Amino acid sequence: MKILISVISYNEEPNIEATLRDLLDQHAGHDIVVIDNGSSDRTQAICRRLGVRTVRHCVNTGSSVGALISYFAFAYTHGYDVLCQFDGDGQHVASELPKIIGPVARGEANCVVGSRFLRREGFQSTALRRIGIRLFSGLFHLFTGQRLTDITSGFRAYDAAVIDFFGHRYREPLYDSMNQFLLLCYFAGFRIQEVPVLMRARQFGASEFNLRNAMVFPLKGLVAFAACLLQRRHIAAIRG
Amino acid sequence: MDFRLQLACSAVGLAMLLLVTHSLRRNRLYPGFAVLWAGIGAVLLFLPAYSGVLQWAADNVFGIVGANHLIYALLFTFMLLDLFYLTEKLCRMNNQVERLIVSLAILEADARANAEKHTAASVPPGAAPENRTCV
Repeated sequence: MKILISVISYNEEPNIEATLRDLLDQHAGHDIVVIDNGSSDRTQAICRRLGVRTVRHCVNTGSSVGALISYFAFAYTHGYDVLCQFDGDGQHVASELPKIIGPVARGEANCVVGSRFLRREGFQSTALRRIGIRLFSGLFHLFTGQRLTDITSGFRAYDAAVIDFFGHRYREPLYDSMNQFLLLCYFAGFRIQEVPVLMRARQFGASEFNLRNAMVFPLKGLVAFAACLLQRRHIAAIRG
Repeated sequence: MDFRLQLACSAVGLAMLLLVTHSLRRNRLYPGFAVLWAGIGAVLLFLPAYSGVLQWAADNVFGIVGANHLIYALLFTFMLLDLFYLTEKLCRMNNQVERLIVSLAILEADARANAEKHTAASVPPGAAPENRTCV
């Protein structure tokens, strides 16, 4: 089984080396690719020194949606069976990867989301962000009947069917890589599962989640959610 | 309807038609957009010819006092619709650009991996040439 771990990075020079070393130590057998969303720091040089393959966007695409399109396209073109999303900011723990890969590899789910709230261990994010997560988790539950506790978690694994769908067949614009994407998965008929995982606080640098984004993100997220609801028949038709 | 407004509308309409012709000659405007703007130009240019109809529409259909105000309202509505259309176009193009960036990045990554494979035997580790990207 070909497993790809895609590490998303944008100007994560202080964190990327530790993140990659952690992954290389724990998962030497899996392929690792860094999706560099147009970094202007030494991320590329660090990856090259560690011998990790990089897919570098020539310009920053603004949101993580570009990175999401990239790793799906990369996984599809290189024929991977399982794709894992892993953040380059050091929040995700390499030793936790088997927890999200397992259900996908066993065929129990098409998409597995690692949740830090199921066991309430490790880094639990900021209070402001938790409010947003609860809001979108509630909306997701309202429209799908499925309860997810950490809907914005970027610690995810996808199987070949999801890779085929988003890496090849679904060519529509994506607005929101986290909330909308799970809703898209649901409407496309994929089985989503959540598993408890441990996460850390980022070691260096600042999160993109500031006061301005705290107001903008929920609004954009709500619109993306609504757009997804309006498109649900179209999404199902693409899946066939 | 005020004669000066009719004159101004005609002048703007004529200028718009000339601008569209100029842009088409220079290949700066797609035909679809050219038709749209030429249509608007023609509507403004020939405004004096149907000012009576406008006056009637303002009084009896829209309930606006004077055809002048109807022209402003129509122009404002057109601007809003045009802005919306262009925003939609921008979103579509943004999606296309995003997909192009991704395709390019993957192609570059593959090309780099292939080049490294081929040069690995002849170039000592660490002495590989700097990768060139579109930046």
